[in-house]
Amino acid sequence: MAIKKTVSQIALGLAVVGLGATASAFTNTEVQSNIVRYYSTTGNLTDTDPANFIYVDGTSDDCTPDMSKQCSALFDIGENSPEPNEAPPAGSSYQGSALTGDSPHQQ
Amino acid sequence: MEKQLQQGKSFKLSVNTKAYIIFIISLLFVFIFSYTAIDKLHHLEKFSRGISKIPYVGGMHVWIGWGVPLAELLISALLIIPRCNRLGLQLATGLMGIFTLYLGLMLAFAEKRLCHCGGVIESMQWEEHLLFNLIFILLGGWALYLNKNTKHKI
Repeated sequence: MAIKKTVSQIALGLAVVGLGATASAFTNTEVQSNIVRYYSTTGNLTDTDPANFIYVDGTSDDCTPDMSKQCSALFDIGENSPEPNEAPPAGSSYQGSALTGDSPHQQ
Repeated sequence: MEKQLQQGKSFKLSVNTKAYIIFIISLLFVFIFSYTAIDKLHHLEKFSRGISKIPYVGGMHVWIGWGVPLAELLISALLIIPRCNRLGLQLATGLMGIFTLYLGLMLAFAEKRLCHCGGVIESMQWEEHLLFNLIFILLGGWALYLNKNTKHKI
């Protein structure tokens, strides 16, 4: 009788661990995309290389009109957080939505 | 006087009720620890990188990155095994106390607050998170108190 009770308690505990794992997997699927705007450091219109873009904290849009240059573009950085003055982390993908213009971040 | 004693007696929990309460509190800890541990292991690199930015303990980020989720899983296992339940409750309450101390220090002293708590808990406001942890500490303390005062331990 005592063994049966112990086994049922362990089984219930394992079921709760499974529930925790399921809840974790469920909430993970919702935070896999993080689209962030990065500023071009080259101004090249066709540039999609993350290494040529930087994140500027707190800047909304400081591009001045210039149709011949790419000012900023969106990158999906997944579950990472953007770091000021750094390029998109490894594995980031260019999402487009590029804005043309000149910016003080271009070298 | 006799009536008062009888009334007081009516509030006493039976041994079985105490055992059920202890078991339910243990399962709550098992759920929250297994949930956050699996989330931390799933995002181990991000979790470890986040810890590296915390003053004083940043240098041990690899050890802490692995240690915290593994400790949570170990405590969950202890809570599940009836013979180890009391030790599990002590460790669970203690670990929750350490997390709460960290949150309290962040709230009191840190300008840039860092929380790498795992899953939806990370999205809580700091005050909500502190309250959440305090509730778990109280539940853990209550379960330990009940466990101490009952001969029938789960």
